[in-house]
Amino acid sequence: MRFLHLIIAECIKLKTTLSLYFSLIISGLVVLAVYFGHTIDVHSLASLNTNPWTLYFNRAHCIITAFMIVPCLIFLILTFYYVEKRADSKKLLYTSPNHRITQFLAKLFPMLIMLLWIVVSFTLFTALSGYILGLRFPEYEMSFYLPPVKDSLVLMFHIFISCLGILGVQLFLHSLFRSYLIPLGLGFLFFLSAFIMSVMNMSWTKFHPYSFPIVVRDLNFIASDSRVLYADGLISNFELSSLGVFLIFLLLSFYVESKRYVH
Amino acid sequence: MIRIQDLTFSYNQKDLILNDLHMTVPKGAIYGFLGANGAGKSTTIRNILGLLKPTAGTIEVMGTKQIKKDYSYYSKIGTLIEAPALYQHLSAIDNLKITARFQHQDYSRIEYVLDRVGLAKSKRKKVANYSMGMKQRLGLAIATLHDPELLILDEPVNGLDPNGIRDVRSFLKDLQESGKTILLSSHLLSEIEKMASHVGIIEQGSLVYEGSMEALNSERQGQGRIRIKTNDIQKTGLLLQDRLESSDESFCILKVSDDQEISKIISNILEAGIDVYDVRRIENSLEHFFMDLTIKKSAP
Repeated sequence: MRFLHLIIAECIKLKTTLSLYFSLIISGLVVLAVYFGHTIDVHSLASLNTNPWTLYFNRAHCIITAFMIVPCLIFLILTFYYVEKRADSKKLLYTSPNHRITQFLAKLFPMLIMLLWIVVSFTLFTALSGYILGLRFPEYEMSFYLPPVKDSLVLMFHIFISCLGILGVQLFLHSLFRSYLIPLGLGFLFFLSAFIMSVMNMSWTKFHPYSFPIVVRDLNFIASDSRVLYADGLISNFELSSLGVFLIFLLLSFYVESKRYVH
Repeated sequence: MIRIQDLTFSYNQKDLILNDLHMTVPKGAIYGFLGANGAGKSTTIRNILGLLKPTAGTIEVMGTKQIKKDYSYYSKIGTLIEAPALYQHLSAIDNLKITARFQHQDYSRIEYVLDRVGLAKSKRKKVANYSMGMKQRLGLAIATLHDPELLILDEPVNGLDPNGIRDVRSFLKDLQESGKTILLSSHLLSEIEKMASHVGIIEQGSLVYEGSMEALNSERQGQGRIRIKTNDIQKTGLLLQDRLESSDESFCILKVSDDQEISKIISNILEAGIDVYDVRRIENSLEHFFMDLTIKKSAP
């Protein structure tokens, strides 16, 4: 019950914040970009006896994992901490009758919910936009096939797990540094390095938590014959690594928060 | 309610911010914690609240020395430390709802505290659009929302207009009458004089005075001063060099301990052939008392 109170407090803090609107619309914006991309190049979707949805979903997944999910996550966490830093709230929160770790977990909860919403809504928006595309261009027979919603949800679940490592690192950076600009800058630096490493197929990519969503997408790639290559419900080593990174950095954040003094 | 013994605090083990500080805040008191800027008031308060770790010494708050570990004690303490911690993008009501949730309280007292600090009309306005005084009032509302036994207020009247200061004074007096203990840090001596039942004066990290307001008043009365005008100020100054506090072209300010001494001083001046034109007693304000103590402490 006490933990629920803290979650309610965290939800009140989110009212009218950028993070709330950001998480609500970011999937829609990505899907909108995918949709308009296909209206320009809709012919690439059409090939005989293949499900046009598969290609459509693959492209959407490619954009969200390579370009969107990591910066989106960095911004999402930033807005949570920006609100606190702007309010100089540590002196208020640390003199409330709650353990600091409980407070930290209460803040983590809406973050996870928002991240989950982003990955789930992405699939729903992609399916919706695909149907609209099918209505505009019936000759590509989108309505004759079923969208791979289940496969996409499975893939997005794997991507959600692969993002947890990044979440852990960013939370730790925000706990460690007083300025919110340093975690933001470092987060983008890590993202860019991961992006470059994965584009260049460097072997070190698999050790870089910020590249896990891209790697995991590749592993779970929905093949053009609608066969999911790696989505048997189990999690890959990269997701396990992501969970490990998440837990390690969460513990480090707990340590930093519990030892922190407010000058 | 608060007992501090041998409190020492330093950020770098070299420069001591607090040095063997002793302090006792009695239950039910309004304890005026006075000190110049940088004297160590806020650092003391942060140490009391567990926001800083003392280098040495013990702090006992409401019977516990482990306030940071036994965080349930925070439900009995209301705090306002310097500028209040407010979520600028939210209204006053939402800020209070957050505090209520953090204190595991319902929302029943929100309207009361808003009304008490005079923010009932602007409760739905975004805090970012509040004036400094309004933010300070909201900070007080947040500090008192959960009806704490102990209030620790660091510069609560900062940014308030005279009406606001009067309202806060009356609010704090009411709280004291209802049995609350208030530790009130300020550099506004006149405010402390009007509100406090006990006073502690800190200078360079040590408490140089602590006592009740009555004790302080009687001590002040024993340290009277007179302003005297004569036909030869220079000669008067030289004659009463040991009592001279200051002088200018027209007056000498002299320290006196009682009324008999005033008569003796006048006789001495007259015997020296100096004409006395005017003698006036100067009320020894808290400001002078404070200055005396802090100058003594600062002197090498």
